[in-house]
Amino acid sequence: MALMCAICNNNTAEVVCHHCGKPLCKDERCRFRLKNDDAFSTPTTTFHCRECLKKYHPQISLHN
Amino acid sequence: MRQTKARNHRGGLFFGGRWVHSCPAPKGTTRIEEFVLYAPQRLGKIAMVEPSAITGIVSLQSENDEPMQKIAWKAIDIRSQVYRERRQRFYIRFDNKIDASTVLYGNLRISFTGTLSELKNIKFFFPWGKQRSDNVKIDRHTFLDVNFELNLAGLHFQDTASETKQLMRAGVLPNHAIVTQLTEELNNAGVYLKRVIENPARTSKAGAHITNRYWDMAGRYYDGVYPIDFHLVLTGEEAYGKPSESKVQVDVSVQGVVASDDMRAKVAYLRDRLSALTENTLDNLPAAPADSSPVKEANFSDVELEQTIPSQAGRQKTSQQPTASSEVSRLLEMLAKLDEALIEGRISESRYDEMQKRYKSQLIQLGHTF
Repeated sequence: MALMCAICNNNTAEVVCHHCGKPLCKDERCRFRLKNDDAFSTPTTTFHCRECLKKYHPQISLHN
Repeated sequence: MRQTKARNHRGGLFFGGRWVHSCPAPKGTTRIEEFVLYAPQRLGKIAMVEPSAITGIVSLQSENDEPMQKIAWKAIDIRSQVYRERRQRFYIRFDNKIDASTVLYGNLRISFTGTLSELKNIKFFFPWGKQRSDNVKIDRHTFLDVNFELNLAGLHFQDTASETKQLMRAGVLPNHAIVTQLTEELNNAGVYLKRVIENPARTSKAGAHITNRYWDMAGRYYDGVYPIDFHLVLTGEEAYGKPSESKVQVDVSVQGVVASDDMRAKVAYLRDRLSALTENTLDNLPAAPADSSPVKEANFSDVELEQTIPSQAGRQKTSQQPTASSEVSRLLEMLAKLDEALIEGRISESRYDEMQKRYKSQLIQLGHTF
């Protein structure tokens, strides 16, 4: 049984949300990539769902 | 774990754990990671434990706590044979006897390989959300933790109860009349007398005019299906020419396996009943002649006499045309023998039920009520 995306429920999940662990597919409407997240000692690219990005990174403006 | 059983026999405790899966069983091996049992120190040292365990003393939390000792079994792999049965047994024996007020408690941790949910295809992700592509070894286990408290008051304790009493009568001739009368009285009282053994009369070392007599009577009484064995030993001195100096001593001993105070009381009751019956028999015997030579009797050397039931004689005489009462006696006798055959394992339970039903229906037809 494959792990499905929790947003669209159509595609296989490839990443999980860095904060809530929600499975996300590679579709840009489902996952949001944040380059150089300062949560780590060395800036790292992290993946988020829309809600977590709004909640934990309010300074980031979402276009989609 | 679905069931936990414990049996107590003197100082020994037997634990049996059986687990029943109500959902798909995890495939793989089962292992008892740890089984810890806390027992009171008053039970004494541990004389034997199977399988081998680590033992120790538990430090008291407060002064009011009962001193406890700890027995811990660790890392016990369930063998394939045992796994099929899905049970594991533990045996422990203490130096002292375990009483019914004992309370044991402990905990158990069992691990199963695999998961109850049968979860597969587990993926791992880095904290930043990306899936791990390296080979991650996954060990899937299910752990079961059980905390229990076991009050032994609810267990079935078995013990042997034995009651004895000694009766003495002076001026009574120890002869066959006592044995005959006693046999008849026992039979009338519904007590099954199994055997009577007579030892040959022997001249006493105290004097040539005294003859020592000895009879051994053994049998069994059934309270429902519960058997109580009894033993009557008649010893006596027959004084030649001086019957008034003759004496009889009867040792009444009764014993049975008991599991409750009620059953123990039944054993004591049978002893009292047999004692009263023996006393009545001795008291109702004709008084010894004042001055006469002792009654001459035939001596049997260690002859074992089978019990003769009075109704048998009548039955033989009227065997061509049995009366209703003799038929009832015969059927009741057959029922008693049937019980004995079942207890001794000579017949199966199904055979017992079948024959008992047949005899009872015949008895009901003859107008007998139970």
